[in-house]
Amino acid sequence: MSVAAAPPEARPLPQRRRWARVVHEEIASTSYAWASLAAVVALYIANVCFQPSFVSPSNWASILSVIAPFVIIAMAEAFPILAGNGGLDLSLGPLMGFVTVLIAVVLVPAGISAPEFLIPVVLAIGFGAGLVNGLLVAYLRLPAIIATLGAYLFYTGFALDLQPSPGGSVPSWLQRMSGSYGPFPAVLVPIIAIAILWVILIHTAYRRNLLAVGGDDRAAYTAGIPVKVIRSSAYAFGGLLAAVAGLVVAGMLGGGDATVGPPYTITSIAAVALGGILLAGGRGGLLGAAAGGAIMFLIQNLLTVANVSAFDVNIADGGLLLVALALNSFVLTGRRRRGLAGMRAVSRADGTGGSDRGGIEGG
Amino acid sequence: MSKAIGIAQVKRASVLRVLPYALVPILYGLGLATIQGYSSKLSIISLLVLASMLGIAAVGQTLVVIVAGIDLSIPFVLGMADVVVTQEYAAGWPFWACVLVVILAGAAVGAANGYLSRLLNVYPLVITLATGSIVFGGVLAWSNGMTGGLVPGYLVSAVSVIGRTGPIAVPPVIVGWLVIAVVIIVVQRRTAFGRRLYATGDNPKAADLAHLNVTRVWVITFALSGAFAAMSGVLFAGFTTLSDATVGEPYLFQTIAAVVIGGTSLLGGRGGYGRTILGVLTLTQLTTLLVGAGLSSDMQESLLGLLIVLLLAMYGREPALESRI
Amino acid sequence: MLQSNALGADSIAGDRDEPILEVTGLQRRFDETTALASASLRVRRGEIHALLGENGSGKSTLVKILSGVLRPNAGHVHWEGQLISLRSPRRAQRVGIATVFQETLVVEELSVLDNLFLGMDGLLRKESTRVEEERRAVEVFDELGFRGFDLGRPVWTLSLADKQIVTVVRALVRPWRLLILDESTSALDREVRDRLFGLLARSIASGDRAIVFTTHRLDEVEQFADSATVLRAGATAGILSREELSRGRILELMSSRQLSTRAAEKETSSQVLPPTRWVGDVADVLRAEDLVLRPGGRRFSLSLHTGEIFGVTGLEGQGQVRLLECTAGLQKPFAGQVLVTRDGELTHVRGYRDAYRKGVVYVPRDRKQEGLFLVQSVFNNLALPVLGRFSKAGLIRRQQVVEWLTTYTKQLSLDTARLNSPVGSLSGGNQQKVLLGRWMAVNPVVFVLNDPLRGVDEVTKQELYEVFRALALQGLTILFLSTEISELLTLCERVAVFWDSGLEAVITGAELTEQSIIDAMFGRGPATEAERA
Repeated sequence: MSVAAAPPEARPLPQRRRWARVVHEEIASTSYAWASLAAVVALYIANVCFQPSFVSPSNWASILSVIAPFVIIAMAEAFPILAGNGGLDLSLGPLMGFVTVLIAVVLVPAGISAPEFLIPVVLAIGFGAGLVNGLLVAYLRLPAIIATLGAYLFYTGFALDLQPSPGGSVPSWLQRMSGSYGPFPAVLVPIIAIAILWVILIHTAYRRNLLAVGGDDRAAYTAGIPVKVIRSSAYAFGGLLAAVAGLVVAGMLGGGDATVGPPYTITSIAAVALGGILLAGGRGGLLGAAAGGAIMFLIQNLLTVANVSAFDVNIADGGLLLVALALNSFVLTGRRRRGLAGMRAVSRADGTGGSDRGGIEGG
Repeated sequence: MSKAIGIAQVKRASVLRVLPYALVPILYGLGLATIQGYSSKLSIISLLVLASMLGIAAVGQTLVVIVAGIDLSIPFVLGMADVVVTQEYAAGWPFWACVLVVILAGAAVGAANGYLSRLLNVYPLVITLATGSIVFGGVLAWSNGMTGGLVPGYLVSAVSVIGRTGPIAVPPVIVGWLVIAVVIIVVQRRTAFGRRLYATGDNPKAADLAHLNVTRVWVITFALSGAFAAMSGVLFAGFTTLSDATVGEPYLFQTIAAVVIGGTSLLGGRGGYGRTILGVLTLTQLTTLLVGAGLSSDMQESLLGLLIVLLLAMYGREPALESRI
Repeated sequence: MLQSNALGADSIAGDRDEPILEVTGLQRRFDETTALASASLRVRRGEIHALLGENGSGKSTLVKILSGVLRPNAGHVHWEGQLISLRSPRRAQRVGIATVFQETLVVEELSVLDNLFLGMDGLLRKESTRVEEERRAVEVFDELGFRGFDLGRPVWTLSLADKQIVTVVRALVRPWRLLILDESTSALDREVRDRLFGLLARSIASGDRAIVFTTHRLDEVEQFADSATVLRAGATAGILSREELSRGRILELMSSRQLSTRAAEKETSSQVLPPTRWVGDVADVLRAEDLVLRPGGRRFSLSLHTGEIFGVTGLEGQGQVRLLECTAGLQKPFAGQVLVTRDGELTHVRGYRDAYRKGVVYVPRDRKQEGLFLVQSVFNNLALPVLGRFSKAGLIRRQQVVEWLTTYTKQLSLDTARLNSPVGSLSGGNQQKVLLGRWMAVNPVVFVLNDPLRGVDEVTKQELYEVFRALALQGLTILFLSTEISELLTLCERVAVFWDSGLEAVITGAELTEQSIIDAMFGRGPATEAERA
């Protein structure tokens, strides 16, 4: 009577060189974003077809400065979503608008206009605002929707009250945001800074902590991760990035504008979904979010250039979001059906252990 | 979003459980103290008219929340109904036909919401945002951004403070709300559909295995939400006499807030419309008080956000992580 | 049988008499329920200590407090003589307490390696390098007998059993002093479990560590434990030393009633008299014809008849759950068909709804996640499927429903005073009764039960044995999957054992013994040669 067929998966430990393994993992950890990146490339090409000037270097600075808010806010929104448990922050758009108003109407007139003062103050405000949301959700356990909707109202109203109509002024160094330093668009500076921050973060334990909290907070908690701290920090980072977006937008507009923020709420969530990030948390990263933000912009730009009416842009946004969600869900169910889940990973020392082909649960 | 609620549920202290009920009279007292003529019949009726309109829009939100979903397309469906009903009536259609069309359209949007959420297995939050966006753009495109329209006189008086329902000196909208409220509460408590609603919200997986047609429950519930949103839009047309797709915007937050302030949990499986009525009355009084306080509308908005968060911090909290293990 | 570790501990000098963990007067309330009234526990160094108790005895609450998940309302916890407060799992781990929970808590998207070392780092700072982590992980896996476990693989690709192994290894890779295993052995194979306990015995041989494990399997207690604490109704009912450990004594302490000697004997004996039979016509009720569960699985056929309690078992992942799902219509077999009698004729089962209409009812394994509506009342949970029948003009006629349900609640000895309480507030055993009651109330023809007695206390188990027998007497056919051989021996006349995605053997009559079932579980079933194609 035969024992089970050849022991499955008796793989030796990866003996590959360290760098090869590292590269393999970097690639694997960004695999969620590949489809989105491909979409960005495709859309870019489409945009260029309709508008050849899109590709010319002299336009890069201005194009990038319009894309920037989409990309930065999407990256901001990614943080609370990654932290899981239905987390999200609907107030990041209004926070961005609030920051522009603060700069134009409060900080600059108060004398805080030099970059070495203005930037840290604004970033601190953003971080603090995000942190407050994080405390409400993680410590007070308010449902994220309500807490951040409340924050949305708070910042929108407050900003409008401070500055009912757009105006004010920003320091000249900030106004250069829509320009370039030589061939180098100025707006790339904050984006690259964010990218550097993220790359540093994911090489610490933070990545594991954040994805664990987002993936299954009970598992994270019982394993010893300080769930509340990680979750609040995610909201704080979201606020921080929203403040960066505020700086960029204030620079581009040359003043403050309380109304610029709210429309970004829907686009930020759509961008995150389009970036391959799981809305339930636990999977994804900023690369995908940035790609998603770029997709949102490129589609809107494409429609404008193709002379589609402004109303249809709304329809397109909504339709796009649905498509993104469908793809997202397709990937997940595809996994289950392919029966990848359930393969017995072990071979016991005595060679027994039937292989579990197909099905999620054993048996 | 799995919701494994163990035996160790964190219940609020009994004082806090009473709070949603206590708030209504407390706020009324505050109003009496700070606003002239707050107890006059006119004042009470205008409060109730506002409450009725929010209340009717919040029916759908309540039902959707019971099945552990949420409907962010309500303001957009509302706006759609407002625009379509006024413009079609101006184009010469009989009014009852216009109303029927928008209610069916709202129900269709809702059905799509429910169906897609199940099919794609995604939070209704995002699905309804998407469909709401589509509806919004669709209405604007359909009306070409035009804002002209007509409403019949009887609609305006139905939502007017001085309207009468037959011999009773109460506007029909309030009476209508009362009737709707009774029906909804009966459906919740005493019908099989109601039981299925709560079971589905409590544990969709178990509901599936128990041979409940979860997709049907979702589709019907969201369709009802869309229908009631459309109904509310029709009433808005009479109230504001505006044909504007954005009229519903405040209701994005207010319907959710009304449900949650009333004490129904966003996690689903409990609470109900009775609670939402409390939330509606609380919210309406709060906004009236803020107006009475003489603040700019922006500051009102700001403060409202703060106050809601404050209230929820007291009794709207989700169960602790420890209790889910 | 393992060597007693008490011998090893005694021979070590020093103040080794001081227990590593001492718990006194622990109290914990949840609103109106008191989970722990006054629990005490004393774990000596170098020992394997069993923590026993029925459902509702406070056992899992005590474990949660020790692991830092919950905080007690009163009482003291002393660690190595010092009073400590275990504020969180993180803190408990820092102290040296590692816990493996009953539920498989893993983060699906992360790799095996990441799951193993979760929580050991600071916020940003990593505790050990990747290389160190891998080394440590391989060490532990090897000791458990697993070679070449792919550490880089995301956990969602693993089977449930392997995920549970990951959670066990997660505890082991930490520098633990006290290891708590909360019913963790139930998901493991016998072999793995034996190896694990072997590893654990070696780990604590040095004398400054200890192990606490909870289980419902009294054979495990007899085999592995040095001493045991028995909880009952939230308090410590007794502490048993090695010599005093016997099933009878344990059961006595666990339940407030004296079990009749016959019942106690039944528990201990492995040979049981066949139950009284259905005396009506015996016909085939459920048939699996030429079934192949998965690609590459073995073809087999099965036939169940009226009034039979048919047992199904096997090691984790051998196809038995798949069989249940196919009979209930939840899954389609790779080949072959399942037939069910309807109006005297056998008809093809086409799907879950179809099977239900033909009278096949499926009770899933995880009652909390897949069976019950924990926030809804007992009444709602019981009545849900039959509501449509008792509604007039859309409104439910509650009185009629209650009357209908009374037959079943009586049969189950379910306390109807609590009809309006949320089901989540009931004990595990009562919850299972509610779930079974719901489906009994639809008068099924075939009852497909997936490990229904899992996590159910002894007393309730005995009650449910009687209920199942009574149902069979009424002509109901029961397909009963269990991982505990004693349950199968008590209830079933025939037991099908699965191995390698197919039927290994159907054991019946005089051959129906614990040993023959175990043999079949490992592919050494009787008459396999004759049955092989």
